[in-house]
This record gives sequence, structure tokens and C-alpha cells, in this order.
Amino acid sequence: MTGAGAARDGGVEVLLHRRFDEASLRDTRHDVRRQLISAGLNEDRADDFTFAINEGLINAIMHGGGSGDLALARTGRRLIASVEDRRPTTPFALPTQLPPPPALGGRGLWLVSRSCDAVHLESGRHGLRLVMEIELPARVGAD
Amino acid sequence: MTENGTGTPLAVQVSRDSNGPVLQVTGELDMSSTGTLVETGRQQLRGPAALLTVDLSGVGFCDSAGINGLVQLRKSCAEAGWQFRLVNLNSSLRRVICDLTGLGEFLNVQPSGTDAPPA
Repeated sequence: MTGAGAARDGGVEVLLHRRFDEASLRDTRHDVRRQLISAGLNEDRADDFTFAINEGLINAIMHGGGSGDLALARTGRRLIASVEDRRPTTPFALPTQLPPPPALGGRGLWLVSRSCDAVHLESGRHGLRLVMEIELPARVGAD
Repeated sequence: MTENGTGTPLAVQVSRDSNGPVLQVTGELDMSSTGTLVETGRQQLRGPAALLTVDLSGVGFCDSAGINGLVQLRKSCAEAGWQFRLVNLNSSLRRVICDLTGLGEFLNVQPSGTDAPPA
């Protein structure tokens, strides 16, 4: 309860924080969705944000060394998910265009930006950090 | 996406309708499970060219790796001279595959309501 109060007062309430890999991908995704519903997102928005976060997870598993760290937190009316891996990479930006239909790959990070309200990517020698945000409905936490 | 704490392994059942093989897919189509669908699909591409139908009515979640698997399978069909179609997508899969990534035509997604293959 203090956590929820802290989130309403502008603090940060951590909802989920864990290391993940391919073996735990599915369970992690299910736990994320449960937390999103419990935080107040409706089913459609929870599905969208779960989809975005899952893309972050599989990007780390496929391109970031096989594992990473996920943190899901609430601050005020925003839910923020951060996915980090530690494989050094040449800095790059989020794709702004979708590849043509026959292409294999290249859609994941593009889809992230369509499945949440804001996304931010940092990449470089430290690895890759993807931060995704979604707004809660106004009434949640307004008691 | 279904609530299932232990995860849902992907199941692919193969049957036939008058057009060719039908893959009935059940579970979540993600980077861990999509290989099962692609391999099972490719195994059907024998004999005279026909139509491979992938029925996703039992799939509640599909990520970009799952989409890539469908694209791979569609390409394998084309290489073998086969046709390919996707049927029975739920609204969230339809949103990602048709509305967001624009793959509805490439993957020959059938309109809902008209696409139930014969049992």
C-alpha cells in the first residue's frame, strides 16, 4: 500500500523486476500482463503493452546475448517498462519505416513504437536499453 | 493472450480439407514456438501443389518472431509452387498482422466470418 501511495505522490512503485532468458520468456510475459491488468490497464491496452514489452525481451534474447533484465514500474499515471541487455552494440536508432512484406525480421522494434505511448532507446558499448511507457486511465489512482 | 502461468507449448494438428493440408495451431506463437509451426508446415509441402491453410483460431498471441515464421512458411510454399492462406485470426492478431505490419495480402489472410475451413 505504501508503494501504491508513493506512485500516486510522484514516487516510483516497482511492479516487477527480474532477469529473463528464452526459458523464462513465456512466464515473464504472462507475469507482465497480470501486473498491467492489476495496475488498471484494460485488456486491449494490456495486450498492446505486453506485446511491446515482449518485443523488447525477444530482441535481448535474439540479439543481446540471450538474456537481459526487465523492470516494470508505476509512477503517477504512467507505467514504465525497461529492458536492458549487456551486449555492446553500434549505436542505432529505432526504425522509422516498416520493411516490405517479404522481409524476414526488422519489424519488432518498429512494432514497439506502435504498441505503447512512448519509447526510448539507448544503445552503445554498455548494451541496449529500451524504455517503454503507457498511460493508465485517468480514474486509476484518483481515489 | 490467455492466462496460463506455466506457459502454453504450441500444438500443431494436421488435417486435410478439399484444398489441401490444414494446420490447426493452438497456443502462443512466439520466438520459442514458431519453429514448430514452420517445420510442420514445410513437411506438408509434398506431392502435387495444393493450398496450405494455417488456422490460427487457437492462437491468442503472436509476436514478431511468430510473424516471421508465417512469412517463412508463405515463402516456402511459393518456392514449392504451393498456395498459402491464413484463417481465423482473432482481433489482436488481425490488428498486428493486417493493420500494423500490412502483411494481410502477402500472408493471404482471409476475412473473418468467411474463412472457417470445413471440419
